[in-house]
Amino acid sequence: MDRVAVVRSRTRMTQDEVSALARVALVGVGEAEAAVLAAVLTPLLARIADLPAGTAEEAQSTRAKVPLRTDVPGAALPREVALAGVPAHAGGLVLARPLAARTAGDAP
Amino acid sequence: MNSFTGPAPNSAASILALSAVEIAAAVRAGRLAAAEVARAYLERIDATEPHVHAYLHVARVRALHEAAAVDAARARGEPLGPLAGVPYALKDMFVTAGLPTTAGSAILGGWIPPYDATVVRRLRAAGAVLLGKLALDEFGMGTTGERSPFPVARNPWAHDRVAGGSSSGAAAAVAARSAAFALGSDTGGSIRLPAAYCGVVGVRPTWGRVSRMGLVAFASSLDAVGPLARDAADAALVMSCIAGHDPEDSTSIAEPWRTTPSGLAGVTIGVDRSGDLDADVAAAFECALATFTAAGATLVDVALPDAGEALAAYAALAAAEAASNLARYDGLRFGLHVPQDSFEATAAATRAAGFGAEVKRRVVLGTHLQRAPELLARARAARSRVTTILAEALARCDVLASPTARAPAPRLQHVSADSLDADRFLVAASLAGLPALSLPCGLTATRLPIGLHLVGPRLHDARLLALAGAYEAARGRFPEVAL
Repeated sequence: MDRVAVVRSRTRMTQDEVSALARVALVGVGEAEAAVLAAVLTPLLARIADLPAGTAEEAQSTRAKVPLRTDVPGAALPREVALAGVPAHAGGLVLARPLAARTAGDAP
Repeated sequence: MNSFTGPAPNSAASILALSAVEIAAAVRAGRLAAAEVARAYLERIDATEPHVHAYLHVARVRALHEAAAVDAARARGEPLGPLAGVPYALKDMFVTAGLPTTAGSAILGGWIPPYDATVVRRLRAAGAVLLGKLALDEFGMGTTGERSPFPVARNPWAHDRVAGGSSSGAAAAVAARSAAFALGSDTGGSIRLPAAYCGVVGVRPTWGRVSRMGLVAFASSLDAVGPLARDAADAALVMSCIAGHDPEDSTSIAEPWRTTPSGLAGVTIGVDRSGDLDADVAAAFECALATFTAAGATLVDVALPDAGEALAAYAALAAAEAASNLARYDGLRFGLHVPQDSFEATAAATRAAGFGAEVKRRVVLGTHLQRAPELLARARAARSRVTTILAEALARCDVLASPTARAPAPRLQHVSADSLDADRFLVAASLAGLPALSLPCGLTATRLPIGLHLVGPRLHDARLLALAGAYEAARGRFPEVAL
């Protein structure tokens, strides 16, 4: 799947998927509640997927790259340095081991 | 006027008419006893609560004890703090030693924390007197105050209207004069929106300006603590007492609070007039801009971030952070406990019974997004764009102005589950971590308050409050709810 297809696949949410997510998050929901949540979350996920692609670093202006916290010394680490040795990441987000294993299957 | 110099107030009504600044001045000068002030406010709570429902818990004994301690300190000739004898209340998101703390959730039912939040300690040190804990949307997730298993705070201006959320009780109590000021928390607008709906001042400080140690966490990169007060001078006084670095909150900023007097002459106000507004709100906003210009300010057109983009980014990031923050409620450590055969089953049963529908919705969304990093990356990029656009707009002016909400407080039970849109003018400042406030700028034809939203540069909180105070002086006294 290309990246756009991956993003789109993340925006459709069925009642069964809501139930599965609720089990993972330990917030068990009944069938009717899962159906309501699926109906509410699908358009919201579509709004998120409609956001322009890119990374936070690319979206920053030169002005914004000035460190926000003047009380924290030192410049930000270059991304390649910061992520060196990280087992898995996507777009700068570090993936925990079980998450990385799950995500590897459908990554572009 | 910043000091109360008149005769001693001789009735509960005259005490309730005083601002926090005036109460502190009168108590410090010995014209008013802190215990007398506390009793007047406790009586006011008794009179208003049957209609307003702002309080989840009234700490009657504690309030009288704290007030007596202030009076005793004065009798001993000890110096009194800047908020001596001023009665206040807390959104029930702050932990309080010995007092129930629910965060508006059944999952924390019966939990009594063993320690006080930093802001509670700082306010006690300043001489403020805690009256009790206030209603809110569960874990701060809502815009109306209705998303909670506990009684819903009503708008003191119209009891069939919401007070706004999530700091619903805080705004309602200040408007109803059942607290001289209140502390709230603001993730995407939760101080400013209820402040606008209830006709009071609500301040979201620069992110990190006030310690969050002891604030129940919702979305840590967005959560901020701030006051709701009757006017900008009261809010500034509270801010001067609670702002500053806290060694127990590594995200708090070591920046001293400096009171900054300011008039409006020569001030530049950035305005983006795009957006669909209720007619009364549009008229009140234009009237506020005219007040600014009449006082010597200059208006400039600026382009503000796209509200739809900011709202979508906020929804994603807040949900992802909430899913992590709320993982700690496992049925063993806090409050509700629904025993089952295993830890996982106990946690699942407790969370299923203890969390409300809105919390579950956000936890499910956040859990999904944590497995969809490409979606989260888009939200983070949008946050960066919003931050950049606001920084560029503020490079051209001193402060940004907009309405706080495009309509006044809705009726109870009239807002759908997708209530995000109420925060359309507010989430951009939250995403950027900028100081922002709402203050009243008018009333609708049916006498519902309308809020004016101001956003300033990072760490310019004191100047923003000074500009708000200057606007209040130019606007004239805002009507209050009839006693």
